[in-house]
Amino acid sequence: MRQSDLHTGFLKQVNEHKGIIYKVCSVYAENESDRKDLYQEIVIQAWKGFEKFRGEAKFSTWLYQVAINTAIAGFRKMKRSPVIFTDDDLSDVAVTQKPNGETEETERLYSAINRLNEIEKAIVVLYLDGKSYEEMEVITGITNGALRVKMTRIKEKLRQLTKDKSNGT
Amino acid sequence: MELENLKELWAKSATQPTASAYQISELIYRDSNSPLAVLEKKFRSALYIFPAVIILFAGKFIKDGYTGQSITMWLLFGILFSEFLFSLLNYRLLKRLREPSGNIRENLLKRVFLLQRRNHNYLYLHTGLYIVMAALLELSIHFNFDNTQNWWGNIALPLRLIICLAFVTGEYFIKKHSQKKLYGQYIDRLNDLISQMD
Repeated sequence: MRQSDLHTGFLKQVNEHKGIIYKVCSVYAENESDRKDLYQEIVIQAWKGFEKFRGEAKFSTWLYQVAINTAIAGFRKMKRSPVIFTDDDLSDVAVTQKPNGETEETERLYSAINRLNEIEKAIVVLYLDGKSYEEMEVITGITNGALRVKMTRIKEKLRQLTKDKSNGT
Repeated sequence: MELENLKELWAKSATQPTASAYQISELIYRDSNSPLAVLEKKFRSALYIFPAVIILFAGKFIKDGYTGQSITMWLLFGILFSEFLFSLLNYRLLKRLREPSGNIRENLLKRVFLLQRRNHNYLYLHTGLYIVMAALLELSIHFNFDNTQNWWGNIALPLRLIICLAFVTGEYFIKKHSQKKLYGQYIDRLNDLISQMD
């Protein structure tokens, strides 16, 4: 494929699926500046890998893999000390990423999602995007059964986290 | 509120106004600022040092010929060449590491495997190189290859062996520490992510 065709094909596909990148960034980046950096990094990595994309899987599946892999394993800067999130920090993250029509309750849920670990966040992103367990298995490499168990645990964890926050603990 | 109820709102987040500000066609030509990209650039720069080293050595090699070189020169050249080789291998490794394709588990396992293999090879090859160099030094004294090494030959053999052993052991631990500093934190983080998948 010629470079210009590759370029056009890539832009068309990414523009059609850019929502995937926004969503991954909104869950993994801690602030607006990180979100922009991560967005750029995902686009660069997707462009570099696009030549090898053979179309065996759906483009959205491939883009999810690239985006999540970049977000969890290739992007984050090493921190000298562990980051401790306060409720204020989490609210701030939630405020900058919340879609229109959000209530205080949804804000609490977004904050709770931010407290999940990296892999749980990936599963939540895929779940919220309506992916089937089969698709989630292809993207994450976690078996269907294990994903179902994890999903149940995540829902319980979120329920607990939102309850704690509404109780002010 | 349950996670199910968030799905509709989540779908809307794809049309966030801030997101449209990013120009994809422009972004793909930018340089990555990720830690791995920075490291890749560092190793790429190290590759440019080797031609300078070659030029530096070339004059002496042309003047005195290959056979006229002292063991010290060969050892120095060997060390610099191995450093160049490792920069090249590191550069290639980072290029492979930065490929984000494949499912998440496979990608994480691939990264850990590549890094651990690289650290293992680096450590043992480097230690091996120093052992070979110590052996060469001993041979040069034994067969009088190089008069510049006479000072070393004047030291008693048991003491020479102790010095060599201390040097190789010290070098092994220093390299091990530097490897841990370079990739250790990253390997720990990758292993942590893998454990999150179980």
